[in-house]
Amino acid sequence: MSADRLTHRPTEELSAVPRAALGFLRPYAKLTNGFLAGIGKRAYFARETIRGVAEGRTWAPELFKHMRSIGVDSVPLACLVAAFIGSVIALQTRYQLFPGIQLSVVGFISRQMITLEMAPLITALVLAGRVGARITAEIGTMRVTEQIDALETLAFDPVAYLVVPRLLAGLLMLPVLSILANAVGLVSAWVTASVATDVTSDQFREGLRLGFTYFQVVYSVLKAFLFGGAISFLCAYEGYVTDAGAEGVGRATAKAVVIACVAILILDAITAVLLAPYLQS
Amino acid sequence: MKRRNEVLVGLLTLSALLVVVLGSVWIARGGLTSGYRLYVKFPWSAGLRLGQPVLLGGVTVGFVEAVDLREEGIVVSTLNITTNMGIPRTVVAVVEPNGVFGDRQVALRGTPSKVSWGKGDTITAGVDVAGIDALVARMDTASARLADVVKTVKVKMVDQGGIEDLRKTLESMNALAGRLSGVVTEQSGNLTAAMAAVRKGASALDSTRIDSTVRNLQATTATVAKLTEDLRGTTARVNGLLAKADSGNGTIGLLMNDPGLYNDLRRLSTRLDSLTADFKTNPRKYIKFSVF
Repeated sequence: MSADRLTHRPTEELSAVPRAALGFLRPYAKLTNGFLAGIGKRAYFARETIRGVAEGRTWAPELFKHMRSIGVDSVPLACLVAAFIGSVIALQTRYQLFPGIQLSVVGFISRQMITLEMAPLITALVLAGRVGARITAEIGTMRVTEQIDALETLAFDPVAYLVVPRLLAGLLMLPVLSILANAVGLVSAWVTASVATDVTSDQFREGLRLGFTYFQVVYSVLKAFLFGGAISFLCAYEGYVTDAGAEGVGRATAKAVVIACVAILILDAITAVLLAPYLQS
Repeated sequence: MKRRNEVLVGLLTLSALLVVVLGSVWIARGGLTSGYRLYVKFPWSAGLRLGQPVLLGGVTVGFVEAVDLREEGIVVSTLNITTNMGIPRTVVAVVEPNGVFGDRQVALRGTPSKVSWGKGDTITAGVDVAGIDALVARMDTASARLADVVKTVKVKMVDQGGIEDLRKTLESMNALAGRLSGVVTEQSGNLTAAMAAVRKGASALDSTRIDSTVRNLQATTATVAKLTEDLRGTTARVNGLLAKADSGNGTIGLLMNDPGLYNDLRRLSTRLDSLTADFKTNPRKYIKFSVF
């Protein structure tokens, strides 16, 4: 029955002409099939990952190593990016203002842009390149060198050992990096606005306070948490299912980074749609 | 190596926690010092938001820390005063526009006083200063009225043919103006001719004759004056006669003023009428004519 389903296509019952007419739909059907199958495979992988979380003794020893790799080692990059982003936001905001608007708006807009959007998003995108590619390459290499098969042979759960610690590290470290990026970005914006423009320090601070609620910080951290999970999970999956050979690892790495970036942007949009109404002070 | 990883991760996490807690508090409270709180009850329309500045004498002394909406139409605003200086008890809190784009701030207005508001006191709210939104509302009203006027003008002038009437009126006025212009041109010519004639007459006048005429006029005037004087004397005499007659003296006075004489004359007249009538009726009674 199952074999029948796979071999028998309903369109084959049609005559040649209608079959040819429907032929143009075949690529789209294949694309949709592939898309849905991709989601399904990742869902199965997510189930395996959640199951692997229960095996604490397998992943716990690896956790801090990956937290350092994802978090501590990424601090300079995240801070550098945040500093430049904050500085540019302050400058652009100041120079886009037209006469009549109080200059404290520079502080307000800088805070809103950095905290709500730029710090978590840019940090995640940068780390998708740095950390995500690394995760895919590590796990992919292990796959093509059959180390994962060896782990299974040794009765190790490869998902619990390879994926879970990276996922948890990503979930925990992205918010930490995002918080630092927020702080560095805001300080950078403050310094730039005070030094390089006619906005005074007091004006910037006044704008910084305007309409501030603690939920804005929570929102930023929540986004970073989701982005961290997306990067770790999707990149680990791509590495885990890598094709054989060095070429396969390279292809998987590139694909993982792209998918992670797209996923980050989609999650960003979803969080904005769902949570932005609660950000109004 | 493993230990080092744990230390570094712990340090990073702790740093992030400190940053997020202290940073949030610093932004929300305007610094790490707590300051003190004052409260103001504004109407709903005040339009305050968290973090908006509180000014005393134009200097920022705090910010709006909380805004609590109440059902009775007021908003209880918590002002966090970050300065060490006391807020004089004479001040009132007023919400005023900050910039031209609808942002607000709380201004504490009043005179200096040695007595200050204490922590947790509720400051008196003053009358809000109209902001840009009030101006916009007024502009909206004005705009609506203008739209009504335009609509009315359209109805009157376009739909009901007002413009056509106006055009006809203007055409009539143009025609009238043309006619008036012709008349004026004609009259101007006449006037010019008249002026020329006057000039000509004036130039033809002989000064000797004018002098003679003036002298004649003077003589005539003197004669008239003498005549007037004579008339005045005559009038005086007539007035005297009339007064005498009016007083009843003399014949004329008696004639004019004695009613008995008047009555006698009336009776005499009546009798004469009777006599005349009788004479016409019976002439033989009075005339006896015989030849033989």
